Amino acid sequence: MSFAVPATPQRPTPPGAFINTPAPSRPPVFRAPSTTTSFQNVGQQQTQPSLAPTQQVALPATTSTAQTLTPIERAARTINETLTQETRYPDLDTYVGREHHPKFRPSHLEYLPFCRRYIL
Amino acid sequence: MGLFAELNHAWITIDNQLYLWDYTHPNPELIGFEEQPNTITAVKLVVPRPKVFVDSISHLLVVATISDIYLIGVSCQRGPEGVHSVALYQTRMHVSIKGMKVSCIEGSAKTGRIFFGDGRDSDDIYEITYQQEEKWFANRCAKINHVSKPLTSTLLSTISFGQKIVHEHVVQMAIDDTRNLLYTLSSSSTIRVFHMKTANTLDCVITRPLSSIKTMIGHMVRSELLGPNATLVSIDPISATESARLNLMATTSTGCRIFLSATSGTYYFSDSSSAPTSMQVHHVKFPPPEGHASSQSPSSQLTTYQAAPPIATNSKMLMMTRKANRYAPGYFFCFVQRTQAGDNDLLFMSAPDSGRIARPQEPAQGFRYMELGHWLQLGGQMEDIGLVTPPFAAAPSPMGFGNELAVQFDQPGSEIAILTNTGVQTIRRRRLVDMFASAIRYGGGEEGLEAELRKFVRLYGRGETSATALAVACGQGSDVTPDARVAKITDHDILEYARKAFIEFGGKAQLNENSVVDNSASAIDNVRPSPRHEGIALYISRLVRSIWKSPILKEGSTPIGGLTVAPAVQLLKLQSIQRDLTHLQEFLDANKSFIDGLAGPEALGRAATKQDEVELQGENRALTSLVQLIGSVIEGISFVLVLFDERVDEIVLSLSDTSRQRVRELTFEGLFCSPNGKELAKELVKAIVNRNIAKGSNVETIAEALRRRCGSFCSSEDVVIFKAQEQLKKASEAGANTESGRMLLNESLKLFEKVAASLSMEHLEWAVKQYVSMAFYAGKSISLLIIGCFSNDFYRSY
Repeated sequence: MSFAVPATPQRPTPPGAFINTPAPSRPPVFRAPSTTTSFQNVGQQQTQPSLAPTQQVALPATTSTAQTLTPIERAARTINETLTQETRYPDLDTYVGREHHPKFRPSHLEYLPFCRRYIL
Repeated sequence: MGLFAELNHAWITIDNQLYLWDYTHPNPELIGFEEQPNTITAVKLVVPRPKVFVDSISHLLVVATISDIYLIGVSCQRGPEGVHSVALYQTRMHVSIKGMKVSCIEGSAKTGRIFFGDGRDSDDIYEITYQQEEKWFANRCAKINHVSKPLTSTLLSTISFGQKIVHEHVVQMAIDDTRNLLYTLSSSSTIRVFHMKTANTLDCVITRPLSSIKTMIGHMVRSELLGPNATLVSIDPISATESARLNLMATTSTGCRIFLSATSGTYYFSDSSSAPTSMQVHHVKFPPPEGHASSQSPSSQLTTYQAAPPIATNSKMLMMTRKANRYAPGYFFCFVQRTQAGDNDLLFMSAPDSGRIARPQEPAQGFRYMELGHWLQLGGQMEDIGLVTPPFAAAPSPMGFGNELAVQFDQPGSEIAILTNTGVQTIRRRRLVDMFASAIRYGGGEEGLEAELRKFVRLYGRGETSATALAVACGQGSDVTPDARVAKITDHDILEYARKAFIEFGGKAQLNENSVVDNSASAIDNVRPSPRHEGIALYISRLVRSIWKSPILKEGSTPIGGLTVAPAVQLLKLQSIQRDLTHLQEFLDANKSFIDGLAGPEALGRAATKQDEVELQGENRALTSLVQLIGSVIEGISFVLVLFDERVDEIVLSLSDTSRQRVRELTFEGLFCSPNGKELAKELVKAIVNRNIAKGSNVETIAEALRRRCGSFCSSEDVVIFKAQEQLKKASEAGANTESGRMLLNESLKLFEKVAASLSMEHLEWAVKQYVSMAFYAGKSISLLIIGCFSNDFYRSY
């Protein structure tokens, strides 16, 4: 079963270039019938479609890594990526000097940056 | 009057007497220092040099009078909720300062050095030296002037030639321990930078008068706020951990924030601790634009700030700024005197809008300094301000330092105390989760709420909105109650709306069709999970961030050379993380039928196209992985808690050298996620049980507790094996030929047979050896051997 992929609008061809010939013989990517793909086997290792040796050489290493991960390893990778992303928060030098007039957001009561805790 | 905010104490002087009290206590006890006869001119709390005093003296009180400076020891008792009580101790350290009027004192927390300035007619910087014992050429306590001037200049400055001479003196000192610098601000608005190259030196390396600062600004921007009448009212160091280039922020009397950078001038061989030789204005932040600041909340008289006019470099909103303070990562407190009498200060407070800084609206424009600010009527004149909580730092280096969103659930919210002539007020930084909960509370009906939520998504992105909504739905939102407590929000309506927001605004997974065509990999690998998945991952990572890469235990040694093993992370912290993750687990379980990707196989029926189906599968794979991880972390923490219930040092010592080294290196991430970590944990379980068997304790109880709390580290088969081992041990103690011994042997054999399939070779060998040594043949031990061999890998390998 294949599904209809909306066609990408054709880019104007620059001088000297030529349009790639469409490849109708390419096998559809989602060939497996929907009955065989269920939530039960989602967490298990995905069987790779059989590929010609030349194609296998061209495959990036990450693809096979992604497929052999256990659910816990996959989640751990997500957490590590998220933690790394959090450490990429820009430093003060990067954002302090862009404009001299301040960028204050009109703050409503719910967005007050501080609250008074108590008065003695 | 002043504050020692880090100790929750305030102080007041009455002539020659100094009194301290706990301002958080409803009926505080007064602690006094009345043992000297002279009028007190300045008081400062500093951190002493290590090993000069006993360890219980955590701080020194430096009391300057018109005649002497006294050092008084301070010890404080701390509990989980803060400082309980403070006690003062005489150190018999004092030094004469006759002829001076000390007005400012500053101490270096890193080195314990104490500096003071003469607040009358000199810009000299003095240091108080102190040591444990008197030496040949050094008293226990003395003073050094680090600014020695030639006699001629001193004489010239005293000869007036009929003119009235205004002497320049130090009005503020500030120390940056990360760069070994002392900054001073003089009465004529000159900034001086002193470098502490060695433990005894202090060299003036830069002098920057206000006129040169204004000239530098003139090259960048023109504003009437930096005219001849503008002076500097405050300086605040910016540490090297917060910024690699910026050193200092100076605030003018017109409310402008001037960011200054300093450099040693050499590109090579310079680091943060080398002496700077040049200081430049890096940037100027002008006051907020003038607008109508009118809306007030009834309870707290908080006045919000509304941005309006486009030209903002001449705003007079912060004219007559009396004092200003900056705390990392950019909290700005500006005290504005609105009347000539100056008896009622207005406070302008602003803080970075971290969520928006990290996510620029237009990526081409780069990161921008977005702030949120508002006004507060102080109801009195500000006397002092201080940071109650530890200084903020989300990371140990400038990159990531200011990420307030990342530490929302990991660090206590920053609190700042302000002392006025009418009392003490505490200002608390609100987190994004608190703002989100507040937006729901004051959102104004279903339609208003939806608009509010769309605004939130626009400002902070869908992933951050999901993470925030999830956190609020799991009870992370907090608010200040009327009785001044910080309480978690448990209001059903707020939690319910946060739940709806998480479900309805979580977006959907997307298939990257280009990748599918390009590398012919499995389609599911090219599914980008939904922002909801990103939100869950953000929330989990923010809960576990402080333990994730941390080792589980740390080894030390006792004074007599024995081994001590302590948890590397406080057990209370682990319990709190586990509690929050359990809430998250329960929330996801209760709502799984509404969440795409967790709803189960029936959700596939709703997929209209094959693409939808693949996207749903990808989402399911990503979400179920996270759900499994949550379970694994909860269980892993349980295991660590059980481990530290036992004598960990004995357990660690009972391991082989290789295993001990591996345990030493084991991180929480390894324990939660890697098969090696699980294996190591099982080895530790075995060591716990063996120790209990050796001790003669009831193994069943401990093994059952382990199985119940962390089943994947100790299965029900393991419990039976441990029980069988215990019976066998008891049998050997009772004697193999006694009746009870035979019964115990039979009992142990039955138990072993029950779990023969799970017996490892190690267990099997040990059991058979025990049976043989006790001459317990009767064909039974042989049968165990046979069953064991047939059942496990040993047989299969032959």
